[in-house]
Amino acid sequence: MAGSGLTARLSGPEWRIPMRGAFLLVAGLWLFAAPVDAGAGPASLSGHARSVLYLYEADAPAPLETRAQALQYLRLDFRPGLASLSLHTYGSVRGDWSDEPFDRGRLYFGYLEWAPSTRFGGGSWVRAGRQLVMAGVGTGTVDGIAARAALGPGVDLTAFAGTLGAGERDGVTLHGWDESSRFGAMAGFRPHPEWHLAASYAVGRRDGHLTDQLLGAHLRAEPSRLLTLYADARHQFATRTLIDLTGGVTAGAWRGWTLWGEMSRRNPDLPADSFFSVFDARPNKEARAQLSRAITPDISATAGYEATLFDDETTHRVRVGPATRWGGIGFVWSDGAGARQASLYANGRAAIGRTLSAHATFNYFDYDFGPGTLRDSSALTAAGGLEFRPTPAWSLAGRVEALRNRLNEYDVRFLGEIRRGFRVGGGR
Amino acid sequence: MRRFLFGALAAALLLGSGLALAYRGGYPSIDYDLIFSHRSHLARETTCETCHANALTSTTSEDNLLPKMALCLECHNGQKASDACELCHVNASNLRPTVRPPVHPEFDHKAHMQRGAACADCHARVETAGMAGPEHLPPMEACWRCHDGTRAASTCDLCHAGVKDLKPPSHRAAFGHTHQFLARGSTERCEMCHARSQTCSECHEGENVSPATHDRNFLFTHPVDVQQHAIECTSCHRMDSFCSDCHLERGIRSAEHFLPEWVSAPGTRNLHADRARRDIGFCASCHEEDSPTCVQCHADPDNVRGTQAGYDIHPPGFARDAGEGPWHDDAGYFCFSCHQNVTRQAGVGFCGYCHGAAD
Repeated sequence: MAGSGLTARLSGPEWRIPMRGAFLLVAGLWLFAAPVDAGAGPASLSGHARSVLYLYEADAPAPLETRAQALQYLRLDFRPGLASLSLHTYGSVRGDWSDEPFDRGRLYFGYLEWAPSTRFGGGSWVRAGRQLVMAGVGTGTVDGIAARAALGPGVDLTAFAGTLGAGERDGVTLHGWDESSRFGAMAGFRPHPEWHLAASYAVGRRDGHLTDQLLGAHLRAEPSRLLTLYADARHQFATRTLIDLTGGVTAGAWRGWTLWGEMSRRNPDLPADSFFSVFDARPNKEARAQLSRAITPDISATAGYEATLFDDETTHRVRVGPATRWGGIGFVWSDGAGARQASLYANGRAAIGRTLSAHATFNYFDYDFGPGTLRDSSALTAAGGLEFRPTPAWSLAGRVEALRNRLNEYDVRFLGEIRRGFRVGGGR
Repeated sequence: MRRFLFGALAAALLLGSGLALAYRGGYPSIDYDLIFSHRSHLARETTCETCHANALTSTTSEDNLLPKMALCLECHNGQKASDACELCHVNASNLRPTVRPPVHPEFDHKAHMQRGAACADCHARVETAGMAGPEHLPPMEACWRCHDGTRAASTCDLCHAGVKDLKPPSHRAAFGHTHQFLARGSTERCEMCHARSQTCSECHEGENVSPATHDRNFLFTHPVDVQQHAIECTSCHRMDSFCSDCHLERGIRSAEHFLPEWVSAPGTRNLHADRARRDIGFCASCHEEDSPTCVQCHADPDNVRGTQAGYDIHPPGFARDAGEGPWHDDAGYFCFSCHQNVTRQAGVGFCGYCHGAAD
């Protein structure tokens, strides 16, 4: 079937994978073949799989029709039991079951890891393959190699190099080094067990042009059970822009009160080789604060305020509401750039016996985009569902969702989901 | 109002930082009334075991591993070393016992040392310290490097038995927003409790079909949030591809594009210019790089510098700061979408902007 495969390309021939067949094969394998906790041994295979079916009927765009979207996720972790090696993969395929090409697949990561178990305080590793690198300004998915080394007490270095990982629309495409490359490093320093400082640097190139040259500084401190501090700065040398400067503090745990405050100054971040990078853009300044009170271990109340400042315009947002372990209600109001909005929300969840649970949500939004644009409007949504979990490794869930707004008078959807975790071999 | 708002928050941050500095660590401090130098004792060939011999056989955190005074007196006997009270006691005229606070988490020194752990593996930098404090106890990340579920067990109650609420204080307020900053410098701390495969991937690496992040009607109310917090959207979504998935494929244009002030003559209110200055990424999410709509007006038709007043989209000082750039070698670079007269001759057209006739 034309268009029903995924394309993998690396400066050579194209390989096409029959995706609908792959979906059925993977779904069948994990559902019927994989044993759970099937004994002990040096080698192990573990992971989880998730199959989702999303059915929806909508009257916009007309005419009313039923669509069926299927998603299959599979996570595998294989440890051969030798030389501190392990293999980790996670991917998905998705598509419309009825008539559209079943051609959306993503490999989120697939890498081989070597993590030597040296002495206490190790924490060094080398990874090769597609991976999400968490390295300050270099954070992102790359197809390449990354390594972390613990250089001494409280000092570590992470470095990576590779081609840019696939984006949201081209889930498995491999790029050549000349097409897109990214490398960088992050050095971490812990002068005190609860203080962590890091500096990071990353460079990205695309089609021979510099896209990013970022330098970042990061601070996280949890000096007591009362306080958490963080600060973050990112500078884009490629466009000579300080793109993010943020600082925040959470102070709490005194008689159940928690106070959080944050300030930030942010600029749009565009690749340097983008046409839009030469435009005159100005920063947003943002301030946020939130006060929470844990009345009992199961009941809390929260009030929050946010302000976004841009030139002479300020956007305000207020959020208040109580929450409990069984659900909560709340009110959100915002006014400023482009629109005014007020909304009410409520959600609840309850256990029905040991293996069954139910949940429900309700949202009502009233919004006004301002004079001259759209008329005042509102949106109402509700959802409810059940989850059956006979064992920690298995779950079966279903949810019905409904929506009504100015575009849709009738929009009802159904989400069905099966999850299963498994582990074969390995010690306990 | 603005100054007050930012001033108040800045004061709160400073106050918080000051308070934070006043605390010594996540472990409870011991209120010592003593003077001691690990550094000078270790320099005299004293080993850890000389004073903390109990550690070799200790199986629980409840054990007191601090040396008794009698052990000190074996050397501080007036002959081998001074036996003056003031040498060790802060207030020798009013002696008081050292009170140990409740100890958490559970720990078995014996089991760890039998597996080859050395004291300095967990108690880093104690060899250069005076009195040891909470800063010389290991952060939980150090435990996790072995207790990762493979090399050693990683169940919570192995060390935190009987503790009901293990959620750190940082998780109690706005954590959905703040966790990005807490994780940016290092994810080790997160991964101790949250296996990366089970938590991060749900939102960051998977197709998030559950309404965990946005309400179900967010599809219809997102124009409000996009206008008010556009930069925040880019925390998760690549705007150059994510927005266009729906907006280009379905021909949906933002409602503000239809306002009469959206595009008007230079010198009058131009909403699109305000929008672009506020978040150019919003424009870039739909408008093509190869033939941007902007060029229809913001072009350089006569190749004469300074004749396009009101249409100049560059920030002040742009040409001065541009320096050596790809446009010198790449005739296809995006600059030439607007500046089309490229003669490669000094003083002529676009090249003449910087390279005058004398060059």
